Amino acid sequence: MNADVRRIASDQPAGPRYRTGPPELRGEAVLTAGTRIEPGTDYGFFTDTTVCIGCKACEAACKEWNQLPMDAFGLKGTSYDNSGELSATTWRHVAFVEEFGGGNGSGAGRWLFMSDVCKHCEQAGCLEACPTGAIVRTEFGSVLIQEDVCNGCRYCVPSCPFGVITVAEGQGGTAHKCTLCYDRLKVGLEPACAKACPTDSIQFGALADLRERAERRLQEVRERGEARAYLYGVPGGPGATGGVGSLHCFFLLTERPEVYNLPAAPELPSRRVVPAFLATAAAAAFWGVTTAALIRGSRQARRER
Amino acid sequence: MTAKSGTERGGAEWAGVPRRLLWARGAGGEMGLAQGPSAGQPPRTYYSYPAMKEPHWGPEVVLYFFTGGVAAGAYLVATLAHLFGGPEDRAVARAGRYLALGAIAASPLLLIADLGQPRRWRNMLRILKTRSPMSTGSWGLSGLGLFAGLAAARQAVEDGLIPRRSWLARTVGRVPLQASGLLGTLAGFFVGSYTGVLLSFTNVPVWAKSRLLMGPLYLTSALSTGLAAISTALAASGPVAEGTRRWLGRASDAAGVAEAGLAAGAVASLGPQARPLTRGRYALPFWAGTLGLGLALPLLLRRGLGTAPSREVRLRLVGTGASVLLGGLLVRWATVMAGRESARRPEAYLMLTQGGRGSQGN
Repeated sequence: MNADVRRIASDQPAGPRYRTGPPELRGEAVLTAGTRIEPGTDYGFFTDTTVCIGCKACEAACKEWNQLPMDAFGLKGTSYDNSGELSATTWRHVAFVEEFGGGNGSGAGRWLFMSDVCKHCEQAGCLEACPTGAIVRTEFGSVLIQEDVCNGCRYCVPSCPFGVITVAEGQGGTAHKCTLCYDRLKVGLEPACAKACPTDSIQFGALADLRERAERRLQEVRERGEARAYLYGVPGGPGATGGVGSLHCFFLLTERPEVYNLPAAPELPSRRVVPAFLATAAAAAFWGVTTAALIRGSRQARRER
Repeated sequence: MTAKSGTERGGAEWAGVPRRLLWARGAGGEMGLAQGPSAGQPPRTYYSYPAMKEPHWGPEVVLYFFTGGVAAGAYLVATLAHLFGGPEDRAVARAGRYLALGAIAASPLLLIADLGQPRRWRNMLRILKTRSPMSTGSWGLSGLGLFAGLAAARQAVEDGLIPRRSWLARTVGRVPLQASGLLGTLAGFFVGSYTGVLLSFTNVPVWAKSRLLMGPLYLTSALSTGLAAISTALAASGPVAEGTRRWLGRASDAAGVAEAGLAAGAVASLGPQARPLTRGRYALPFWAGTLGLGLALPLLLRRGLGTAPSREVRLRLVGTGASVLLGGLLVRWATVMAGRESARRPEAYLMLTQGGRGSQGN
């Protein structure tokens, strides 16, 4: 640790949230991720799937830091991936895509590993759907569920285009998902999964930096022969469609999004609210007039008799 | 590295590979052979695990959709009968007001049962969020509760159930009749329809893809179940005036035809996504609810009613009403459950979200 880094690390504002921990740990992310964490800046993850080795250290680190209970213990029988999906108790999930048995007889194949996480969307479907205001945008640009406000209505669950949120009955019946380690960011620590990742497949940082880094990495990967590589979730790309804007947690992928169980062109549900409302208003006007006319007509017929 | 193994893989290359070795099992197994998702072709999936999460809304929510609809329908019919009907139709307004109050009172209880803890309902009214149908719906439900309560209290004063000199009667009497009727009508239309809009305001394939029809379908069902509740109550408590019976029947028939039409339209517009509504365990309830109990049976029961003896008329009206009510409940249950099934099928969601992309990821 050089003196310059030490100076930056201890140069954090002296608010109450930096009072915990020994001085050399304040702003630790400067040392571990090369990023100083400041409120007002958007942070996220760039997950480079080409260097993921499927060790699931991120899953374990996430469970441990966030004290998430274990899921059902068992083998799925579909691949070596036995956690299967993101849920209220699994906030990082490493997908194991097995591409084996490929036709030319060589027996060659490959594993595609991809550490999935809440995307912390620029325009988040869950945040828009939440009726209580429990889901908020934090000062770090992440999307956070306030567990004391959530009332367990489950409307965020089908409103998330990526199937991230679920409600765990064992956890008070409220909705849970990745917090981008909000508590860690508050004290200048990078999120647990990114810190635990041994290959830097998960990179934490300020969004603008990450996007630059990702572009450079994409060029490199393409030059090395993986021509299909692309970024999922950067503005204008796949995953950032239909009003979602962009994803604060984005990915470098080498197969089509569906292969990783990701929608190619997700759409924000609120995009549908105006046409749906207009169609319904038309139906309401129709029934109001029709019913009134039927009642009126019957009354007049009786008068004439 | 086997970097190039991912490029230029045709379907034929996979011929002869035992299906158990392929990554996409179940429904995806036959179809997702790395040919790439083109229009109309189910995409490759991740071991057929759901690509989005279904909402675990169960019987309480379905029942609430039903009671909310009955309350809205009964309130609307009562208000319209009061405004446009003759002296004969007073019985309709009276029954509708009491029924609306009863059904609207049951609604928050069902929602609280779904949330698990009574105090959680309070958070629904913590803020008003116009972009969230769950939020606006909670406020609409509260509003309709207020207006339905006012209308029922006014009726109770008229009926002598509440003494005219009491504090309650005087307070209710001070509320302007026209304004509360107008606002209540708006709230009624809103509560009757928002549940359908709420469902289509998600990523669930069956609901999202039929977004233009879900609101009208739920509103029409609200109206038909409201009419059915009123005519059942009237017929069960005494003879029904012929003019009233006739317009109640006509309105009910119109709603039944429209409901069947909207259901058929939804299935047609869904295309291959309509599978949970045309096959499997929710198909029969869906069609029995819309076509059978909602339309065919009522038409059959009401045929030649004018010449039937009074006792039989009442019996048949009760049967008609019960049939429509059960049909409405079935339609709501089937649409909710079919939606949940479509959310569990990754091909359905991934097909919905293929968008207009051509070369993404290729």
